[in-house]
Amino acid sequence: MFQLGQTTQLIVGATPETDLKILRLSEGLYNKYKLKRVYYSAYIPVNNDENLPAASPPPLLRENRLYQADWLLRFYGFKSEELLNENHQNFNNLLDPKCDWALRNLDKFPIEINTADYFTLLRIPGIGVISAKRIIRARRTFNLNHDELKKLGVVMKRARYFITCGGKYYEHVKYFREGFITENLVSLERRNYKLPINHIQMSLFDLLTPSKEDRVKCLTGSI
Amino acid sequence: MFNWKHIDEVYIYDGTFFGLLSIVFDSYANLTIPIKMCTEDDYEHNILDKLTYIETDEEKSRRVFDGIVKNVSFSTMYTAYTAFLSGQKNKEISILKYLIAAFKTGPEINNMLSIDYVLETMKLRRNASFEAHRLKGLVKFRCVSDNQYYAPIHPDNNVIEIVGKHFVKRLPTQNFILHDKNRNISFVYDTKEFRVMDVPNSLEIPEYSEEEKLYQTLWKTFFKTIAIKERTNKKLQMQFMPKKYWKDLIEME
Repeated sequence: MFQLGQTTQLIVGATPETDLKILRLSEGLYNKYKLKRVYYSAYIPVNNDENLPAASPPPLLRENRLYQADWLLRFYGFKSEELLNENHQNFNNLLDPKCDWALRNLDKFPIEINTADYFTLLRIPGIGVISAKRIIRARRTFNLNHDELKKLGVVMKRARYFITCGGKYYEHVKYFREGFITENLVSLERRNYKLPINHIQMSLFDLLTPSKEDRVKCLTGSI
Repeated sequence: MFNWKHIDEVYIYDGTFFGLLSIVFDSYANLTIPIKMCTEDDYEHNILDKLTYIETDEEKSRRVFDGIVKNVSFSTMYTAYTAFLSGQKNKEISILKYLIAAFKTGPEINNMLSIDYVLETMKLRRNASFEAHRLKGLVKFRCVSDNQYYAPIHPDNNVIEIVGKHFVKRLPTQNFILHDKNRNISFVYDTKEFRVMDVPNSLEIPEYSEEEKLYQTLWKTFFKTIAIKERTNKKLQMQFMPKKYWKDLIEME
């Protein structure tokens, strides 16, 4: 339809759309209208007026999640309904869209690095377009193991939960279980994004607040 | 994969790519690999080293060059050459092994990423060509006199030729000098031909004209005005524009 690379920009956060709606919109724009790029911008109010949406901190993390999902649509062969659906209308704050998808589809894992095809490799968290291509090139001559994957540029701290090399699971990972993997991936993500931690630091003395009588006892010295 | 014969010698060569190629010629038959290879200037004296001085033989290096291009592939030669431009020390041994192995395996060598010297050569190449790519965008020419443009750069790798050739295509009607201050070499183009040459230590850059100063101010103002305060992201900026290049950028002064 369009001759040149057309682009568009969506402002995120000023109106109440969910991430699902936004992602479906961009998928439609990519597939039907052959757009080159859809850009997302967190809404930053320029003026303060009662008719404008209220000023709150710009949803930068949400913008980031949308870009991550956008890449999954364009280069990784994902479809919008795989990433989000009516039950999950918004992206998970604590996990990137690909990890989130992988954890919801844990039955498809672990994937064998030495036999999986290109698009299956791309679905593994920690493996991107470049490292997937490198794996395909490198394994033509030799079978790969975990150490070599790391050298090829695979992000092992994410990928190690989802792969086997020559039938072997990564030896330092204890369990292939959802709760265990989620916990580890979330703590990685916290470090990257400095996400707030919701629990309160517990102190020994919180539990042992002395009663009034105890304080009196301390002063008088009687037990 | 091969029975490399690691010999206890240090090769001193002239530091040119053709010097490396003539060593490929000599080492090919016996697979002899020295423990170290460097130029006379880079060599740090060690009483235990056995030194061998290598003369660059143009005939031999020419044969290696043609052999690789004809029997292996041009991209293998290109990989080796770009990797050779890298500023890293001890790059030579990996490239030497890579080229010898390329003769034996053919174009397949570029896929054998699980061999350490192949991966190392690929990394060197990626590092050098990525820096060249970055500099193509970051070089800022200053007008020093009538229709004479000058730009200092401080690259880690010896990429002045790649960057210079880019600007010959891009600005064919301008006279310009690219100055690699880390190596003190320059790329000079006079609208007809280009040359890479040493820079005399006494080189003095004339003071900028009023017009040039005006343009520099305009550029700085543009850079400040275009920025959106709420969206500053220092970490991302530094990924695209690492701090080591800031001293050559007008807008970061």
